[in-house]
Amino acid sequence: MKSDSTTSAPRPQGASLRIRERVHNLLVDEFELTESDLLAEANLYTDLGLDSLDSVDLVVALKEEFGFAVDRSKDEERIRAVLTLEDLYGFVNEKMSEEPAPSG
Amino acid sequence: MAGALISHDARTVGRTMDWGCSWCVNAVCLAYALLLSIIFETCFALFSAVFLLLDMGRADEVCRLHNGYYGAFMVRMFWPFVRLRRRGLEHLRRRVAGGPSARPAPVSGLTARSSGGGLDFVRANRPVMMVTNHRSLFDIFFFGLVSLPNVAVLVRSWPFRIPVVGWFMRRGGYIDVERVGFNAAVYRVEELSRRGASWLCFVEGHRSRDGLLQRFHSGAFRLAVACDLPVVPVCLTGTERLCAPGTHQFNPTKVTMKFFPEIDPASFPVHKRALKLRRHVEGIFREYLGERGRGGGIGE
Repeated sequence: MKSDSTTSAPRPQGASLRIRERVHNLLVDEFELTESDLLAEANLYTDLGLDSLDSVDLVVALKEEFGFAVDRSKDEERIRAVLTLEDLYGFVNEKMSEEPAPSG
Repeated sequence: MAGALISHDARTVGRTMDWGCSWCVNAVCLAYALLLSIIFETCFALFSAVFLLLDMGRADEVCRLHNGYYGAFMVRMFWPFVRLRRRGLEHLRRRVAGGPSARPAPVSGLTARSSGGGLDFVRANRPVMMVTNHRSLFDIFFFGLVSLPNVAVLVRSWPFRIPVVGWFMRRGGYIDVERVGFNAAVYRVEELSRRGASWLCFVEGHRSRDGLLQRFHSGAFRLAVACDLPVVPVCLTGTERLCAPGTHQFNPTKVTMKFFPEIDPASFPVHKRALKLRRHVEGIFREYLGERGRGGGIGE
């Protein structure tokens, strides 16, 4: 069965929006950022002011929020590559698709 | 020496100090401090060598003991800078060891007159997670006066790269929070806590440059929740004037270590418990320091 592209297209986008919303809520709660600063192209470190210690907190907070596991040795390069919010959405999307976990 | 005329307004950090030493006096004092450090390390090595070289199974505790006493030693070492009031340190140790019923006593350090408050709440017989603000490079040394000899610290990566110091930190079971994963950190905190070690974390992550409280990081609170450790907020004031960030000038100052009652993480709702605990502790600090909170909040 092949689904119509006009009906199938919004589904992944909708899921992505949900992830974005949860990521935004997490960033606001965890790092006291304001929603208006959370632009997709914003750099986590230079624009949003996070530091290396925040990145540690971020990984733990993502694990708690989305329920996926992060293997430091396996995922270190991927975490290092996350610079912008867009990268972060992508990272969460990838992890969610790798291991669909119970979400909060 | 001129007396210390200290403003208690934290916002004065970085402005003209009330009293300062010329760079040459500071150089002499630092050389003096280095000499005493070498003497301390040499003497302590004689004691610790038995444990460290033979690895009698408690080497990490010896290292934590060393680090604590070295901190107290460093604080004492600054005595030429100010008038000396030595009373209280021994009382403090006995009082903490005596538990909550023991009588409070003021503490006097050397560089600075330091006063403790609320230490009754620190129980020597139960591991706690002490969370504190960070104003000076010397903050850590003042915890040598806390009289909990078995304290490990949650630290960033860079101090581990300091020769000798880094070695003692590693051997003392200090956790590099930037390199050790959360699960591994939980395991190590639980392991050392079972052996009676308490924990210390500078929850702002790095020193405040303007004397104002910075945003707290969540790691220490998450660990406290995961390991069921009571949290003891400790608010340091005055150390920023001792050697202000960005300067190498020593100034006499009055240091206050304010200990707040311990907080049981289980008293917070399960949902986002660590964040709520963090916000609560941050509120305690801000209220004590008379600072306004930042924006943002967690839905209760």
